[in-house]
Formats: sequence, structure tokens, C-alpha cells
Amino acid sequence: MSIHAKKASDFISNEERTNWHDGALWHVRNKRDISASKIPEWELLRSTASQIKENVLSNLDNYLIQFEEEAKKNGVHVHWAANDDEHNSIVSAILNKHNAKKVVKSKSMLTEECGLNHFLEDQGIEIIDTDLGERIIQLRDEPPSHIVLPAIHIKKEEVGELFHAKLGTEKGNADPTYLTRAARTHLNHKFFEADAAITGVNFAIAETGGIVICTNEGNADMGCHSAPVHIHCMGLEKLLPKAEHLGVFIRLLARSATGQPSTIYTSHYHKPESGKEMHIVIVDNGRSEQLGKEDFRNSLKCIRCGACMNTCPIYRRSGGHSYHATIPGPIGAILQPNRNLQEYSDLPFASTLCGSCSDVCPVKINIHEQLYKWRQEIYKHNELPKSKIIPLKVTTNILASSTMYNIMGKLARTSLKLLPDFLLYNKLNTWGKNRELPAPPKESFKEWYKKNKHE
Amino acid sequence: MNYTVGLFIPCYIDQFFPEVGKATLELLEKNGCKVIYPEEQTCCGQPMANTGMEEVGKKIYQSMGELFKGCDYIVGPSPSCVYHITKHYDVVEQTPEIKHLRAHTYDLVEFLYDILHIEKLEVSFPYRVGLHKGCHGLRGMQLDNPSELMKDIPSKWGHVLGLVKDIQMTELTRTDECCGFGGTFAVAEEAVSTKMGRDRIADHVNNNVEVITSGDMSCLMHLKGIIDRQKSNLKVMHIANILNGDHI
Amino acid sequence: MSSREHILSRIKKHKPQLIELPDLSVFAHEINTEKLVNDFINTSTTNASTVVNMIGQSINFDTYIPLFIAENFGDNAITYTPLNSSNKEILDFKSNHIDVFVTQPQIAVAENGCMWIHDKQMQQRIAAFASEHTLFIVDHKTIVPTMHQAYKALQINAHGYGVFIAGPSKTADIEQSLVIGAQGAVSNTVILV
Repeated sequence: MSIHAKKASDFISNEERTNWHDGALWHVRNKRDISASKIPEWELLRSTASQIKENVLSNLDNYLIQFEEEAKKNGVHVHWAANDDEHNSIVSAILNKHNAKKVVKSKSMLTEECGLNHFLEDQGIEIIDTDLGERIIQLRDEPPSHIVLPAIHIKKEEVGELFHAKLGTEKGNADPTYLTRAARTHLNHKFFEADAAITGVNFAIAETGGIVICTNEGNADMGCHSAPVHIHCMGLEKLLPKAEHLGVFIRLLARSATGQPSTIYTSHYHKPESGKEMHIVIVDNGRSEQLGKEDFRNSLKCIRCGACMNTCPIYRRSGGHSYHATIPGPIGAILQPNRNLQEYSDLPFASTLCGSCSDVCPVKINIHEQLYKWRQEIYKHNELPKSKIIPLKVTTNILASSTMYNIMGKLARTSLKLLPDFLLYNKLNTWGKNRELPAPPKESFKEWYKKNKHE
Repeated sequence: MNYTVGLFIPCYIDQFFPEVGKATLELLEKNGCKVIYPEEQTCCGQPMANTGMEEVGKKIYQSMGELFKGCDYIVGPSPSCVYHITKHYDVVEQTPEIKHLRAHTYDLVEFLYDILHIEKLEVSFPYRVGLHKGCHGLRGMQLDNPSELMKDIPSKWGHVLGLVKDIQMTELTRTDECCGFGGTFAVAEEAVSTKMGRDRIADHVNNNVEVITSGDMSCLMHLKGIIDRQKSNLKVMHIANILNGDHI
Repeated sequence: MSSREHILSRIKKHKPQLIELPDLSVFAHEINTEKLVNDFINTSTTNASTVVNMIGQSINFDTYIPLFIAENFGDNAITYTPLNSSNKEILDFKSNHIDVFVTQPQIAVAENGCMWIHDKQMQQRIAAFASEHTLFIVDHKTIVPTMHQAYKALQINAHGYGVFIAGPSKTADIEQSLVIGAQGAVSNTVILV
């Protein structure tokens, strides 16, 4: 069994919890539908956003150069990191320069990807995630299970117990408002103690050298505006050409993510406040390689809204951790193999190719088609398990020969023991664990046709 | 309108659900088509390709082109297999036969709607029916409006079922969620696959459906497998059988 | 070669042929003042803002606002505002509790309740976030239909920092239960004039 299949099976073994998880995410998908349906030009927005991102990818080097130039004019320090290690070293050097020991960080999938937290903690730096969901999972010492809703897999009672143990809230109190207020007080102290703030970046504007950060909680701004130095870490694909393009993306992002017409805060940073320092770290970490893969490059259009996770019938029932990757769900399943084909060769198979992900994607990434393409790549690179290859090769030989097919089919119908081989490519009767096999008909269509229709 | 139609019967329908093949044949003939059935056909190659073994399955593709080269249209009762031919046969040499095949292969309902413009059916089906919109037909071929898209795509399934007398179409809570079959996914991800199937069935049951229908027998085979395990009275029937006036 | 050069040269090698930018003029929206005001009130209310509609009423801000604050946030509510000249010193928000931050946004957006404020309208950036409550005075003539018109009307880099604020801070990170008041302000009031 693949890693995903095993972890999914473990998750589903608690069916009640699976239903709860599925329901919570379906609710978010529904809110997205309602929100999108109120915009008559929704599909036009999607295709426009897609085309803007395609333009960005086709002119990325020039946009990056322009962005850097403008940012520097604004007094912003710009750094370039080829990979995760370099990213972590750059951030750490900035912190050391400021003798920063306490750092607050708002949500950034990029710093997750680079393993920044553990890197800094090993150097004795306290790093506090300030998004409530991220703080919850940080206190539990586990990775996010969703890119927008990092703690979607955790029940409020579990948060209550966690906060009781870590933040001293009342035992047994699992009221979300009470717990959120407790986190607010706890984080408020952290903001004002912080020597530096780190954020992710939603969009970067080549024309102006500025960056845009979207939050509901206000945590990115609380951090940046209270600490003397703020560092913004961005994947190099985050660029947009001009400010006017933000209109398209801001309209799509929150509606796709949670169904809100916009996040509560959409913050545009161009210069640091007087007396402060602002840094931007531009990170590659495999992206420029991915740009060279024609079938897969357009996954770089992703704006990290999480809509594909909310809609994915597998994700909703297997949980984000079953993808054993920084970015889970359908988009993760096409991004991660680019990083390590061997390690993530199970993910493109964690899908029925239903295509719902591609249809909700605000930038029209053909996710399910890329999953199909990754499957072909995985076979070519010999990463398919033997249990899949051998029965299918046998099956293909049977199918390639009409005579063999007819004989095997007859055998299959007279002795259904052959069915898993013929139809389901597996010696063990995995099919029958929770399902019956179809009752065999007395003759195939072809046999019936020969008898009844042959002239 | 006397089209010569090549009947494409997907392998699993040939072997396990011959009644779907018969209904398809009869429906096409009733509607004035001259139907030929090339008996050398086996399978479209989708099971291999979806598992990543397109390279291996490809040898079937050219022979499919050869088999159907004389037909005006090629029609099969399975959006999933039709989608595979039209969409994924792009990886072999685009011979005139392959080009013809890819451009003229239709799912049965799609053919009835797009080409025959069917407006009348002399059949009755007095049951509460839930439509399972198979994903390849829905999102791949847009035989209906996917719930994710803010468009107004007409429902070809809905149209043809609407021509059946006494049928009571039933609204589902989740109108088009995947059933979890997914080819080899059904076995490779058995836990998720059967959970998805159980959830899909529960939606039909909760909305008082008596018969689940679909354009794709593969989805129904998976769902029926679960229904039978649950020993439920819920029935499944391919859309071709309903349109052909067959009885449960 | 530095990482910068490495990255840029790899992009140059790998990028596809240039794809043109799409035309944004297709996103034109009707300007109907009454509809814009109604939409803005609806979206703001959905975002949990309290909206006080004073359109058409002549108000003396110098008396109305202090009175409004006293009535709604208490007689002793501490206010921070860049609107009058009295608060020009840099305030330490760590040791000073501010009850109400008051400002006048430059632009408001009907489709989502966003209100644009920038450095000049904040004086200190932290003020709009660390204050317990925010109070925005919105001139109804500044309401635009969507973000397209907002970005057209704004120059996002006219100031070092600018932010669209659409309501009080909120979170649903615990079991998708919506809680108003996360790390930023716990309430937001809009006075429409």
C-alpha cells in the first residue's frame, strides 16, 4: 500500500471524524460557490487571472529585475535564495545582524517548505507563529494539514486541552471565542516583545517594487508594525506586472479560499516605517527548474487559495497529513513530485482524476491533467510499484489480442476469481473488502451479438 | 440522417454488463442508425494510461482507429472511455484514422443530444431516480454544468431523462461529487474509494432515490458493489437501459 | 555566479514564449450611487462592521465624533486619530492602550467593504491594528464598485504603506467557528457621510 493510501486508511478508520472533516471542508467549498455565483464575470476573472500569470511566467526574469530595482529605490533590502538552505541562512543573517532573539511570523507556506522554524529554533531563536491556526499546530508540534486552514483537522475540545496545557486556559473550556481571546492576549505580548517579524507574500508588484499580504486576523500587520525589522519571504512566482492586476487577484483569492469577498486586511508594503528596516527574500528552490517542464510549468500560477483542497473528495476524506508533504491536496500532488519524484510518487495516484480541482482553481491550473501526466512520468522513471506494472502489462497483452481477450473474458466470467486480474489488476481481493463483485452474466455482449445479430 | 454508427462497447461492459451494450445497440437502431459492431475491439486503453502506463497501452490506440475507420460516428455507452479516446489519443501518430476516431467518437447520450437531437422517447420508468454524474462526462466532456463552474451548460443527461415518461428525477444534496471508483484507484486507495462510494449512496438514500442511474457503468459497478454489501434495496441502472425502456 | 544570476539565467533558459497580458477594460461596472451605497452597507455588515448611515445629514465632526465615541465606547475611551493635530507624537502601543482609532479612508469598495487607508491616514501603522476598536468615516462619494476601480483610482505606492481594511479582525481557525476579534481590532464602525 502506498504511503498516502495507508495514512488515508488510518484517517478513515475513524469514520465519524472523517465525516466531520469532510463536512467542514464541504461547507467551505459551498461558501466559495455562493460567493462566486454572485459575480457574473467570475469565469472571465478566472481566465484573465490565468492569462496574467502566464504572462508573468513568460517574462519572469524581466519582472524580477524590475521588481528588485523598484524595491531597492524604496529603500528595501532585496535578497536572492537559490534554495531552502540559502533562504534560511539569509533570514538568520538578518536576524543576527539585529541581534534578534524573538521573532513573530505570520502564515507562509514558503517558510514551511524551507523548514525555517526548526532551523531558527536550533540557533536558539524563539519563533512564534501568529496566525491562530498556525499557533495551534505549532504548539502541537505538527505541520499544517491545509494551506489556508492549517488546523482544520483539529477539534475545538483538543484546542481547549492544548491551550489549557500551554497557555493556562480553564480546563474543559472549548468555546472558540474564549480560546481565540486567550490566543489574542498571548500573541499580543509576543508581538510587542518581538525583535523581528517574518511574513509570507501573496503578491509582489514588479511595477512598484511592493508586496501584498492578505490576512483576516491582522497578525502579519501586528508583527511588522511592532517589530523594528520585517522580513518578507516570497517564492519567485508571486509577481504580478502592475498594480491594476491586483484587482483581478484580490477579487478571486478570498472568494476561492473561504467564500469571503476579500480578506479583512489586504496590506501593501512598499517602504519601511521611519526608523525600521524591510527585507524581501526572493526564493527559487526548484521553481526555475519547474518552469522548464512544459507539461507542469503552469502549476507555478498557483496563488495558494486552497480551493482545490476544499473541493477534493479524497482530501476531505483522507486529511491533509495523508499527503506527507508541505503542500497537501491536489495542488501539492502536482507540486511535490517536481521536488522529489521518488518520495512523492504516490501523490498523483491519490486522485480519481474527477477534475473538480481544475474547475475551482481561480487561475485555471489543469491540476487533474497534470496528475495524469505525472503518472506517465512516474512509470517512465520506474517509480511505479511492481504490483501495478505486471498485472497491467499482462492485461495489455490480452487486450492487444482480440482472441486472447475473448478467451480470458470467458474465463473471467466462468470463474470470477480472475476478475481482479482482468479488471482490477490485483491478485488480492482488495475490491471485495467493502464491496461485492458484479454477478457474472451468462454471455458477453460479443457472444450475444454473434448469436443474434450476425447476418 | 441514416448514419453508419460504429458501436464501441467498452471491455467491462462487454464482459460484465452485456445488457447495457444491447440497449445501446437497440436505441441507436430505433433512432434510424445503421449500426456496425467491429468484433475485434477490446478496450480503449484507459486502465493502463490512468495508471501511468500510457506507453504500454498505446499499442491498442492505432488498432481502434483502424476498426472504426468506415463509420460516420463511433458511439459508446461510456463517457469515461469516450473521453479517453478523444482526449488522450493525442500521444500516438495522428493518422487519418486516429483523427477521424478522435473527432467522431461520442458518448451515447451526447450522440442522442448533439447529433440525433432526440426529442421523443416512447418509454416509461415510474421510479424515483437519482442521476450520478460521472466525472469524465461531467467535467471532461461537459455533458452537464459542473457545480464548480459559474456557467449555464445544458444538461444532456437531464434532457434525455426528461423525455422518459413517469420518471421522477430526484435532487441530490451534493449534485456531482465523485463516487470514488477512479479505475485502479478503487483498489489502490480502497479505503477512500469505498468511503466515497458509501457517502454517495447515502446522499441518494437520504433523498429517497429508488434507482441510481449514470452514463458510466463503471461508477455504477462500484456503487452496486457497496449497495449489495450493505444489503440495501437501492437499484442501479445504466442510462441506456432506462432510455431503451428496459425494466429493472 | 551569485544566486541572483543563477536564478535569472535559469528562468531565461526555461521560460516559455512571451504571452501577452489580457485586456482589463472588460471589467467595467455600473456606477449607480444608490446601489454602491447599499452594496457597501451590505458587505460591511456581513463583515461584522457596524454601519451608521449619516448620508444627507449635516454633521459637525468636531462635536459629533467625540460624542459618538463617548456614547458607544464609554466616556473615558482613549482615542487615537491622525485627523486632528493633537496626536502627533510617536505613541508606544506596547504600554499605551488605545480604545478607538479614528480615521477617514481615501476610498471604499462596494463589492467587499474594503476601505483604503495609508501612512498619512494612520500616522503610525500599528494604530489601525493594535487599537481595540476602529472607526472609519467614509464619504459615500468615495465608494467604487469593485477592486478594479479601486486600484485604478489609487496609487498603491503613493505612500510607504497602504491597507484595505474590510471590517474587524476575525478568525475561524477553531473548527470553522467564526470569531470576531482576532489579533487586530475587535470591532469596526463605519460612519457613512
